[in-house]
Amino acid sequence: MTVNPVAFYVIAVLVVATAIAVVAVPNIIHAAVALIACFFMVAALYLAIGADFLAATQLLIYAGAIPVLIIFAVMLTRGSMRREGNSWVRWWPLALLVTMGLGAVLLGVFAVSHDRWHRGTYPQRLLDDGTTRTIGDALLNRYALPFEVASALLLVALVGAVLLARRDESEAVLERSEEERRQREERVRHRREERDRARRARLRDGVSTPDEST
Amino acid sequence: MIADLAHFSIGPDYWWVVLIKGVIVLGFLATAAAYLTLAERKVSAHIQLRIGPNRVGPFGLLQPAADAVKLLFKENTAPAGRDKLLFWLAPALMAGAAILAYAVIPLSGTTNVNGYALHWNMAHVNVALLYVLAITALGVYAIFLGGWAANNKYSLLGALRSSAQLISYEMAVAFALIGVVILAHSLDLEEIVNAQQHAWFIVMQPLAGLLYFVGALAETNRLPFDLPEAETELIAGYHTEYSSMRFGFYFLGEYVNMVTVCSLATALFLGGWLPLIPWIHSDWLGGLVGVMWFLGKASILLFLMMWIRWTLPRLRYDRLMNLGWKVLLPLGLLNIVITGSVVAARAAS
Repeated sequence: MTVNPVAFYVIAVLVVATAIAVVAVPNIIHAAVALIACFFMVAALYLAIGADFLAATQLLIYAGAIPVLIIFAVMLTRGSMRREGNSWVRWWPLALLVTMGLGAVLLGVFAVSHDRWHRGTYPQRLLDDGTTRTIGDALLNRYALPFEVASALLLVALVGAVLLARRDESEAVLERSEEERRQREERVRHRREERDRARRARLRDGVSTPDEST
Repeated sequence: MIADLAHFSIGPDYWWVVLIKGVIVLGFLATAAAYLTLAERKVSAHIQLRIGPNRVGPFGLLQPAADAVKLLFKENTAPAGRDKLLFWLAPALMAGAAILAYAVIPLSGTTNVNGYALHWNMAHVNVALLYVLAITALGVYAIFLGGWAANNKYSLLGALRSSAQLISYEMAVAFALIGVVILAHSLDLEEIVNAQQHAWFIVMQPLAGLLYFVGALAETNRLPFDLPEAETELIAGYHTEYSSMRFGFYFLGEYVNMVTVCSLATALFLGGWLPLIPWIHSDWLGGLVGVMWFLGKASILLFLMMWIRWTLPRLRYDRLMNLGWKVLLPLGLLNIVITGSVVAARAAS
């Protein structure tokens, strides 16, 4: 099995084009849609190199689940659907630098590998067992520890997110009473100032009225 | 190029065979969706002691054709404040994702025709189950982007509800299916069906079957989980602003999704094309009989869905979320633990 170069280049061009669209389009929802298309194309790339399990997982997680969360976040934080952001931020030279560094690393790998990258052969075991079995075997036997550590990390992140999002009940009650006390003080102060202002105005106008405090 | 691409993951096949299969599947899905609308109206009518459509053709059998013509000739209205690109794209995405998902569902076992192994699905993918889950997950975007692009508050509310619901129930469905995968040792739908030669998985995995069916109702936005549409509060939700054939695409997608989840349930839990009365699968005729068995089982599930829709009231939104996260998901996990332990214990002994 070899990778078809035509299929590879067509898909690769589409991946890059959609990726550029993600950062270039001004409307953030359009950018999210371009991101979905980009992930979809990456899945196609995986399929082209015979990684079918990876392709399906890419579709399920990256094309199917992550952008939903992104769009959700946009919906809940931005007001109008017409608002369009500016794609050129102040720090774009820094971003350019980082991107160029990453590009240099990739090109370095490309140079070191000579032309092995498209002449690679699949190990016999992979062809016999299929990608699903091979990946599952690797994750649960050989790389069991890193796999479990990664899942523990995700669990910690999950618990942390819940902790941040959900305020403690007693804390909420305290905050509410604090807020009420502040409002009450505000009202009292406001009333006092009002009264003082009125008294000063009357004194200035020379209207003689009995002092309220007496 | 396609053949080369397909060689590793899909398996070698003649391109014209795939093309013919594609045309047949597309025609089948469109017809099935059209006649499901009629079936739905008939079933609802009989449940409510009415007769239902009976004027167009014998027993109202030409009603879907009349409806299609009506949809085509309706004015294609569009709100002025819409997002032009996404308003146009979303309905196509809905129908497209629904139809694409059906490509890997095996309607019958592989049969041998003059030395050629004929698969009864469009694409013989060995991660078919994951593929179906992934593609149906893309349907969320159609609902969400369609509702957003219409620039209507009811549409947006429907879209938000819908995506929250779909995300929640996707998890429950995926967890329910893991038990089946553990027993079948495969993600290939054909192998999963073949693993049920001795006992259907509904017998061995009754909990998973129930969880999947409830989750499937929610994933297809059917009552009692049709919160995204909820006529009485949201005026049809995400497709309020759609009319004519754009609405038709949403409608088509919804009914094709029903066919897909019922077919998937048939393959996963009801033994797929495996007959109740023994029949030897060898030639194409045996294959066709298998298709009949498959569609028969799927039809029973479809009827069940309609029956439920016209019997149960709609759930309240918070209860819907509670059911998804606090009942279905833990039960799915429990099912995985039990199935895994039993399989491990059997392997050890």
